[in-house]
Amino acid sequence: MGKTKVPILMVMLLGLMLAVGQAWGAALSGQNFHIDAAAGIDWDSNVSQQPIKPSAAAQVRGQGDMSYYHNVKLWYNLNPAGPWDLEAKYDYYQNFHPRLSIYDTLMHTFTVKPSYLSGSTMFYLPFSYNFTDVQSDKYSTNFDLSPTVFHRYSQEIGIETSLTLARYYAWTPIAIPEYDRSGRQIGPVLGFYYFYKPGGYIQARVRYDYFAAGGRNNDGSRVHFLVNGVYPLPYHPRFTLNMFVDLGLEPYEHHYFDGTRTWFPRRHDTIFNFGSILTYSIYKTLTVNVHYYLTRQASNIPTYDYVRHVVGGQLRFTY
Amino acid sequence: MRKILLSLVVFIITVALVGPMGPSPSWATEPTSPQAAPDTQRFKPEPPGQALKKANEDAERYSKVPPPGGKGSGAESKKSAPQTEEKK
Repeated sequence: MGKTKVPILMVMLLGLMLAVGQAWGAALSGQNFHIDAAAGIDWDSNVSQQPIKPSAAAQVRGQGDMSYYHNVKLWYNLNPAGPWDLEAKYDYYQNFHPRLSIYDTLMHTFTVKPSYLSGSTMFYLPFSYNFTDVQSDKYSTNFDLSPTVFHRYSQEIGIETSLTLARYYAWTPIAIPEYDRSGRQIGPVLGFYYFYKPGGYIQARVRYDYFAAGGRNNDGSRVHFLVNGVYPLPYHPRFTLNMFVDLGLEPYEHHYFDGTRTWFPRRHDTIFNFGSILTYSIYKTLTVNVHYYLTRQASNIPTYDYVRHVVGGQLRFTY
Repeated sequence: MRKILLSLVVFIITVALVGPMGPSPSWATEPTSPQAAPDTQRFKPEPPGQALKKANEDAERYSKVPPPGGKGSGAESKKSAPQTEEKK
């Protein structure tokens, strides 16, 4: 090791020690470390996303089931009070189905998010890695980078714009190359926010994504319109109502091919999502909610045409 | 608090009636395939409400950004804002 490298290494080591010391001191102060733990039970009418016409599926695999799930998030903010911040987050999600256990899912998501606040404008650069496991088998992994800018024009109005760059890997075996779902995704997001009272807001967001897949069946565009509202109930401050509607248009590029001589048109999906969540705050850090979700995916390819209802309850702790 | 307990009791009874302890409804008795893997072409493992969760997380984070001329810091806003997002 050369003589000039020793001081550089010492400076780097000193810098690292200072950063670790600062992080440790901040963690002890209790302002930087957070946890969000939730557990719940759902009834899911269509766990397997079985088509409306069961004959469209290769085999009938069962449809509805109960679902128990838990979700823990741990994150750490290096400097939450300052303009510069770095957030490191770990998200763990797992569900169990008593009958359709082949759909039991496990997810790990790691996120690193530097951010900078300048006046009323916040810049984010979140980068995340997700690992998804279905029935104890590696199902998919993906990397996601979303540079984002949010500007608050006034107490009530804010606007966001971001770009999503993602790389998705599907790890399950495929029968024909056209089925390959691995690919790249790119697309912008534009969002409008109206913060009408503390804890209450309306969010309108439109996003476009282009997905270039390894298999021709999965090349296509995705446009989604989301309207989401959170409303703390007047006279009942412990209750909050959250409702959203999401409309998606997903035209695919190529004629669908299933490996047989059957001719299919270009796949076109129209997706309607609706959700309603009523939350009750037992304590400041403990909430309970009941929720209902509806997903209706209308597709001209019968295999992808399904409806799904989910209703359940959840207990959640945040600190 | 009584209402919460009452709601909990109603919920437990409902689960008992329609769940494993009660009579089996049609969706619980339908046949399942011997195939031991999901149809990976159709199945999306993202839990329902996933998009909403992300949207609410973003909105709550943005609510902490101070308005022009505003004095509120992110930490203060965070303490006062109730947690409303759906976590899955």
